[in-house]
Amino acid sequence: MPILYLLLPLSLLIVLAIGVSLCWAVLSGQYDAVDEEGRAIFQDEDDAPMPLAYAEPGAATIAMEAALNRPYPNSPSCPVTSVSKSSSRNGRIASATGCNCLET
Amino acid sequence: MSTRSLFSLPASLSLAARRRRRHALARLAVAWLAMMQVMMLAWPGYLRHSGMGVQVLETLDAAIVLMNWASLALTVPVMLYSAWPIWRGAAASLRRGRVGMEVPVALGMLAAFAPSAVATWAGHGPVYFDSATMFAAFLLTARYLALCARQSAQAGSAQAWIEARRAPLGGWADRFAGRFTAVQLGLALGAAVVWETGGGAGDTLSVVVAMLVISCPCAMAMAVPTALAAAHAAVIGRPDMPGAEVRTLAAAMERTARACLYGSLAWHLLLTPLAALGWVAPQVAAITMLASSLAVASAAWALHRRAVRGGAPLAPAPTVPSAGA
Repeated sequence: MPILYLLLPLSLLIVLAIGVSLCWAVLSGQYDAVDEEGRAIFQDEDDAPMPLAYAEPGAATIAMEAALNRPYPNSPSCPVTSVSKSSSRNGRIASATGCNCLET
Repeated sequence: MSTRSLFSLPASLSLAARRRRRHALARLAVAWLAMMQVMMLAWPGYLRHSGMGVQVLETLDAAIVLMNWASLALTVPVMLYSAWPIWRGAAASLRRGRVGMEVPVALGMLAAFAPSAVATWAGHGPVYFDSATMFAAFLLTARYLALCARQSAQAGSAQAWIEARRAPLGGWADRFAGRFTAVQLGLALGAAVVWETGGGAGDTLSVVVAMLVISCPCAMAMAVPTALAAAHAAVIGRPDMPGAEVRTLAAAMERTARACLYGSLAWHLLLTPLAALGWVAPQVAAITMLASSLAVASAAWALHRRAVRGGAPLAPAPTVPSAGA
């Protein structure tokens, strides 16, 4: 029973730490566009800025968004035929793109 | 998983809107974190019953007092930070002199929190911290979904069309909530008078609190935002949805929202007599809130599933000829 006097404040401290770090992560924009992070690996330019999640969208952002969206059709059906199309465009990461599409 | 979803960030979103979205998510995260911890700390209170041995009860009661203090410490940030938009909305609607959806929500949360804080300070009495935090977490989830839906609404004409239904539906729900609040307050006042004069004066406060908590305006407040978010998500999921189907979807959305509102009213009427008789323990109030909120959420989910599945077999058809090309 007396151990509760130690354990309860300790658990509250842990919750506080989790809450503060979670809020920091959310407020610094890390959860703004979680799907962009997964798509970023398909980008050829490693030194290109990550504009969508962290900055005010400008012309560059919108252009990049368009470029990101091109191999992925907007339709949820994500037709299997587009695998061959997008993989021929992207070349090296055909299998990864294919997996992503077949999942849908 | 489709490439666009309800949670995809629209590219044209302004920095202010983006910041508002971040804050909404942070409030939601705090509420969910605190809710899960408070639920765990409320568990000894759920297990307690008078059939236990005297020594066991003594130990358990001492532990429950400690747990209540920990719950209070976790609930205060939810009340001050997460629920801030609710207080602000309720204050604004009271200043305008019109009782909307925000007022019964704020009333229910205050009725769950304030007496629980007093009971914790006094060291005895029922606490409803689990109901209060669950209330905030569910409601903020519905609001966050609605915010995401609203921010993605500029994407297409079908979404703008659904968005246009928000104002009339929300206005109707607000008037409904205003009448509900009047009835709820009247019933609670009547029960208080009966208990005060009928010899059970010591229990008056706990009966009134139970009546306000069990009325679950949570489910009521979730009805319109969840239905709207479900309709938006369906349209985002199928951008090629024909106009006739969008109209059917909007009608189904209104039906779902109305059914949820009437359903939560019926639920309220069903449980009010139990609360007025003093039979509602805090854990029953918490479970009631959970059940009614989940019912509203699953109704919205069913609406979304129906709308998405409605045209799913048709979607890949136009692309088949290009496979051979």
